[in-house]
Amino acid sequence: MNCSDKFDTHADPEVPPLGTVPSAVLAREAGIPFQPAVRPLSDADPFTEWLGLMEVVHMLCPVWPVRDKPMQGALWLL
Amino acid sequence: MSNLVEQIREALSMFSRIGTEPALIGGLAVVAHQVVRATEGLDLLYAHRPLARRLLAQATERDTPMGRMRIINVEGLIGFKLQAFVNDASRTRDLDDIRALLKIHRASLHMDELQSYFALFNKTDLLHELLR
Repeated sequence: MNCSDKFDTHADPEVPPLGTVPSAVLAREAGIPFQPAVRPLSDADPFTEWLGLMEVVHMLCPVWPVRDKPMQGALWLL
Repeated sequence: MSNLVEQIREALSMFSRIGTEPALIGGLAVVAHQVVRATEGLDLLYAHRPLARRLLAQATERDTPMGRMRIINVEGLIGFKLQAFVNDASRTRDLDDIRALLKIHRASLHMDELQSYFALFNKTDLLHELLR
């Protein structure tokens, strides 16, 4: 199973990235328009919630893609 | 999941042993700032440039299931996410993270600081678009 969140590794620099269009529907979001995650109603620690989420993610996707290359680009100002 | 916890604890322990206190950035810092999403990467800031050194100094400590961690503030995290996106426009996940962080923290964000990061990368228009 491909668990990568990179749906397009050959982005055309002339074409605005999908993510800049608020209404864009991304394949990795299963055809659902982007909805930012909202704070759960519970007061649980976000790290605890993340660990619970990752339990499920690992069941569905035991092997995550390895970062095969360092960050791209040359504009490092921070 | 204990492996993941143990690996992060081990990494933090190694930094502690050599007397370095990096701050959490990247996906796990996004989680720390209330946007709970899947991520496995442990990205740590070990500052070099003046801006990053300031952000590292301002990072706050928090107790987590992985141990005590220093976490970069949300404005700085957005700045680093913007930097990653500017350098590689295929990393739309970074833009999604920025959008989610803005939505959740908008009322409490230090807008001057945020605007300075977008101006640094000549992306002021993008900030206006994201805040619409």
